[in-house]
Amino acid sequence: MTAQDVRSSLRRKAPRRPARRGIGISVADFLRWAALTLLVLWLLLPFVPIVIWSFSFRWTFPDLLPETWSLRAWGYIASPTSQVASAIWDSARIALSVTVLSVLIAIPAGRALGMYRFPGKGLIEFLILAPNIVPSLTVALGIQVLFIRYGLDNTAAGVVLVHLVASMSYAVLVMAGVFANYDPEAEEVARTLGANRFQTFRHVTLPAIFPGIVVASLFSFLISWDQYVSTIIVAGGFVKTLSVLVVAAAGSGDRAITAALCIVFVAPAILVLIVTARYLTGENAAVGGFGRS
Amino acid sequence: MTKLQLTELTQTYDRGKRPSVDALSLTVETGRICALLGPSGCGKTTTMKMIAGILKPTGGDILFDGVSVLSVRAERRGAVMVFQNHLLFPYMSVGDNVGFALKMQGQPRATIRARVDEMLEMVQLPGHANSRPRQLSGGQQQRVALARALITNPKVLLLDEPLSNLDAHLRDEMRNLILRIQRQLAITTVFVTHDQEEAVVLADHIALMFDGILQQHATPEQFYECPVSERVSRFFGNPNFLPGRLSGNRFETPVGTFDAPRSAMVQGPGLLSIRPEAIRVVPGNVQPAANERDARVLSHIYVGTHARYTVDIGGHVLEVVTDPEAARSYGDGDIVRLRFPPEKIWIMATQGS
Repeated sequence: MTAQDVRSSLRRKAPRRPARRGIGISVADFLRWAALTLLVLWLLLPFVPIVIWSFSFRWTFPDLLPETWSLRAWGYIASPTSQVASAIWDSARIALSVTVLSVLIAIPAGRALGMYRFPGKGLIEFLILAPNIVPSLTVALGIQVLFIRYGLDNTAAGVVLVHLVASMSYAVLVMAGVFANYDPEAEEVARTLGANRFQTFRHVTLPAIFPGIVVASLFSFLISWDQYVSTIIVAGGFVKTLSVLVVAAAGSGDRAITAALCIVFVAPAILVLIVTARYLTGENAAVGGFGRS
Repeated sequence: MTKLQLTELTQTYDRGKRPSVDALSLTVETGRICALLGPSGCGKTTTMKMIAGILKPTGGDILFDGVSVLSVRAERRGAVMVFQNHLLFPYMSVGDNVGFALKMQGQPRATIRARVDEMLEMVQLPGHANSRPRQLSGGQQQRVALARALITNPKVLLLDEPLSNLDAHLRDEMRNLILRIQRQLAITTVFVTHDQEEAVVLADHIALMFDGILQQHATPEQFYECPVSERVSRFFGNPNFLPGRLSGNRFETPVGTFDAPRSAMVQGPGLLSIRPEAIRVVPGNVQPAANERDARVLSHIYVGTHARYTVDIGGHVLEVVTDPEAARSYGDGDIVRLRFPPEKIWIMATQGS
């Protein structure tokens, strides 16, 4: 039977579903939607007060809504004095650099760790994970001593490197998982069909591992975007990323500005997640643990 | 149109360990099909990958038409592989799969499309260029993989278990297709398999390997009629052996002497082998003639087209395949007279000598 036969026979059978037309919705459907709604609320509700805060002028305890509304916080963020625009630019270029570098490292490293057995493999795996087991403050302080010696302290390059330490272990882990389920026979076939090493990677390997690259990129980007402690230690006061501004605003006690900054801070992360969501679940999932539905 | 020669080809994965392929010498004449046969782990796939250029041999040479190709990289060597698993690139259409090799060469799109249609026609899948591989059945995918391999007119075609994953009726169809295309293009072909039946129906000649060492390189008939050793004979499904001693054309065994004109040796201790289907059941009411022995039936199975007997002859257990009529005449425990036709008996040296 061809795939087309299968599909048409499925189509024929489709209408014979247990009909429960009375109220138009089955119990199972109802429960599914209820669970979904709960989940969405769980994720979105914390944003409601933040959004309100960002538009408030005065909001004191017993009141459900602010006494006075204002665009002051958003006006401040849009103004050059807030440095938000330059912080977004800094955060973005640092996070993108970290993403590109950690994926470039993770592809060969993940291939080696996922596909081959060699002496010292366990040690290498441990060393890659180690920076995320030790508190990041310790790691950053240790690295900073080295950076001062090599003139990397207070530079964007130094920030990229210190973020890379954190992001790389996740990227390598994802790619190692992808390569563990990868069979190089397709590459061998491509070679005998006349593809050179680069063509083989471009036309055979890359499409096969692409979902993994997307997920590794997503993790790397978000980890870098999120870094605060390591940024402050390596380049405090010199490289001002968005997360540094958010923490500074939170320390200043201006809730409206902090809330507005938080929204700006979260927005790109959510955007990136939405764009890459189809690689996290479903048929193209790179991470098996997320299930294939 | 390529003559393929392997000379002392060797692959040692771990220094100091036994080689996976040990000094394999083999010649496949232009346009012939050779089966590399053997149980899994015998080195046949390693050999195939060395021919393809995926794996560098640790010793020996590979020659195409007398010229060493060891320094030629896989993508330029012109020996294409078709694997059993991972047949097609899943994220490409059938047409892109078939045209892959031409695209790598940088051929113009129109040329590629014309050739792809031609190749799909040849494997009897016209009009499937825009299908996705997963929409095709296993047999169809295999035909597409064959088309993809043959689009550049390669020098050598390498197949991995070409019939193994197919149903019985598809096997015949695929076998005929491979043979037709192979004859039409006169392409030198090597395939690996663990299944002796697959080797017999498809190959002009078979190279049987055990533990990285070539045992026998011969036509399928020769593997049945004159195997070089008990192990080779057993691999081809023959369980019947009687130890004894050859002198002249006579082979003396503990259960009597047999006329044995066919032999791999001159004289001395040896092993008599005879295939179960070569032994005849004859009427037992007269004096036994030459090469006839009485045996006791231990068990029998009726299989419809034939009956299979397990018999005891002087303490040696033999298998006999007869026509199904005999199954009605003899039951377990009965005495049956067997004839061992001299022309079907094959005497070989005992292993190790």
